[in-house]
Amino acid sequence: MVIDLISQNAEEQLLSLIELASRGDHRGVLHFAGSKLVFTPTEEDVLLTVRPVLESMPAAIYFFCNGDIVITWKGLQGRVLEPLCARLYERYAPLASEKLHRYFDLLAQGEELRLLCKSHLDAPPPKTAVQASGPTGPAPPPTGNVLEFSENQLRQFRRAKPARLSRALPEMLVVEDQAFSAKLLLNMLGRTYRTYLAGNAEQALELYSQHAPDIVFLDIELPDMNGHALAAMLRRMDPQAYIVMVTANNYTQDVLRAKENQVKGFVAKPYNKQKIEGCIEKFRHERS
Amino acid sequence: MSHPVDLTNLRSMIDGDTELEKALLEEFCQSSEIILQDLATHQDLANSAIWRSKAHALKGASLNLGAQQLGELCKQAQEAFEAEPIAKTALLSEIQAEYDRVKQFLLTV
Repeated sequence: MVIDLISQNAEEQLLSLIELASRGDHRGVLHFAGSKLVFTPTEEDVLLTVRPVLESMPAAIYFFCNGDIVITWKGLQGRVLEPLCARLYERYAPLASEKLHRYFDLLAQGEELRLLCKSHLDAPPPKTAVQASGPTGPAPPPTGNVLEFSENQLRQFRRAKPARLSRALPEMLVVEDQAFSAKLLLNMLGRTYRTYLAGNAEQALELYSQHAPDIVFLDIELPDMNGHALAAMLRRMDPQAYIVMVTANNYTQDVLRAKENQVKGFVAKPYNKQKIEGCIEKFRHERS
Repeated sequence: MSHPVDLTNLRSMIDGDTELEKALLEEFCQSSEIILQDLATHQDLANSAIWRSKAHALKGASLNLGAQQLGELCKQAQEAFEAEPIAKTALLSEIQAEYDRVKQFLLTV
């Protein structure tokens, strides 16, 4: 199948293909080739075919056999693919947001994609037939080592959340893996607020569920998970999550993705005391 | 030649706490030297993701310290994560030289 991106119904064709893939009717790799998207069906586990190209990672949409869909591109290819995928994400995300992973540029998210693929490769999902039962079909069982809130953590969070109402001051969670930067922000915030520190996404999930912090200062680049994905996960679990993304990058796509995740702030390093205090004041104003 | 580090922002963040400043500067040097070792051992293309990640980490720390030039060199290294090892070696050499300047300066404050 070839989808011509400059044709008027390219978006519809691609949406149809994605919906078919989500029901398990199609399995393969969609490659970006000039102004066309070429779908190469395969009966093999797509995850295995991804492995040889992990290092070069062409622009593509991968339909994994557990139902995950990964969209990625590289550099200038984003000019054509990014707007299309942004529209797809908007339309598709409400149907099965947990299954649609989006990576706009490997410079920013390549490591997360590599880790995601590795987690699938380490624990390959069972090849089960997916019965079509509507636009989305039943979701395949989760597999692999992908981070997510456990049932126990969800229960913990439900118990911890009411404490927010009685706090005199907001409590903070800093999610930052670089020791110097973490200590700097921890010390600044800790002078006034109770502040917790997580060095990775796994620790962040645990601390968030235990303490239900009011504000999260979240670094985009973490060793075990992309910060944007963690932000999206926190927002899904807690729609009131107040997240401020922090990064040393200054890429447009990071800002755009932060907006899509409805984070409340975006702070570029170097940390600035006025900006950080401004984020906290904005939170207090919104919640008063 | 201008100083390799401007500590104004850092000192503002910590309200001029000199003891904390000293601890933070030591932390910066310790963690940076580990990162520099990691960069040195991950210059091959197979480890380009690790190279990129480490360069990014040092970039963030350098910017937060106030070491603008070191941060800029780390940014170049981050963006050159797919470059050949010979290019990375040259970049790392520049980063090491600038880090040495930074460290020397921090010893005097």
